Amino acid sequence: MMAWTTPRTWLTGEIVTAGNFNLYLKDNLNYLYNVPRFKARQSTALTLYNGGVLVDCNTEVYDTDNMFTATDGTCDIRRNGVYTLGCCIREANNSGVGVREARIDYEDGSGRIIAQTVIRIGNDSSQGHTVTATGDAYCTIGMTPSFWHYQNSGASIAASIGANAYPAIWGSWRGI
Amino acid sequence: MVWTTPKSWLVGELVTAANMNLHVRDNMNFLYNVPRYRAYRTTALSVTSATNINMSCDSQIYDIGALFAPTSHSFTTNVTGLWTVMCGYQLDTFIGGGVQACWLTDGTNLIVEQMWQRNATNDEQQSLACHGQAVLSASVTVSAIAWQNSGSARNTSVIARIGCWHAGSWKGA
Repeated sequence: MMAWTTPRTWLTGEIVTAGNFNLYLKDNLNYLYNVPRFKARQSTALTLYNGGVLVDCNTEVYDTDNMFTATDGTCDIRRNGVYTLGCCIREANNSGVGVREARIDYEDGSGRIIAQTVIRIGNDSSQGHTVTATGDAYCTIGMTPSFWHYQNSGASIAASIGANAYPAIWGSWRGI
Repeated sequence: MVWTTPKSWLVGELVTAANMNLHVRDNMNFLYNVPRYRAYRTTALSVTSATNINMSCDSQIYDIGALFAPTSHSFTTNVTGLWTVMCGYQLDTFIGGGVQACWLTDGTNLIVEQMWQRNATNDEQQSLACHGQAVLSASVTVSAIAWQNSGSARNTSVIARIGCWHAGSWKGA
């Protein structure tokens, strides 16, 4: 992954060089065009425990900045900036009463949450339920945002496996 | 506007206006003015029970890159890369259980989905949306689909451009 270089201030009378053009124009344009991003999914069974579980994923869909290492439910921030982060989890059909939550935490020791969706499941026939959460957050190098599912139906629920859609976690750099 | 892979400048090379315009100006404009659209529906959409219903929209708020052509439940990518895609709808008030869902698919793979259970006893509107990212090739059609299984057809609300909508934008290569 290419690095961003603070664009230089050009001086009156300065002779432009190939080195400067490549570093400050070509490489920076490529950086903005080819943003850091990752997406990962779980390809085999995942148990959604009563009381919550990290959404571990075992398969990388794309990853341009070494942000994901299988098997994990977190990502590694390699450069500062605003990131869009998201996750999606679908349950197999069940009739468990309670809430279902998709949540993304900063995981920086602050206890802060980046994004959260919570829905209430009442008495009904056995149904699938999908929760997805997406949010933007400023992250710094070394942070490891984590992706969580929570449910309190009283029993474990199996996650549905839906190709690249669920269980899945993703993120992309948006700017400094 | 299209993206042109920035050239590698050579020592001793003469800097031309054409190269500066193509490799610097046009690429900067591309990154500044990315392909994007947002579409919505101005009339109620009937969502038949237990049937995949195309979230057809007849109007657009913006469309850079000619991604969307009304009336349609889909858009077509015009450049390869990372795309953020989203859709949502609101069902008008009714008393009925079941779930309601929406999702986005590229025709081969599901990209993202949201599916919530309805309250079977309250007469309330309920809206939901999903938001996902995917790396897509150019000329890929992404479709927005709605689904509910209350037992009867239900209409979407006609409200503030969010009764039935979908949107997308290019984020990077």
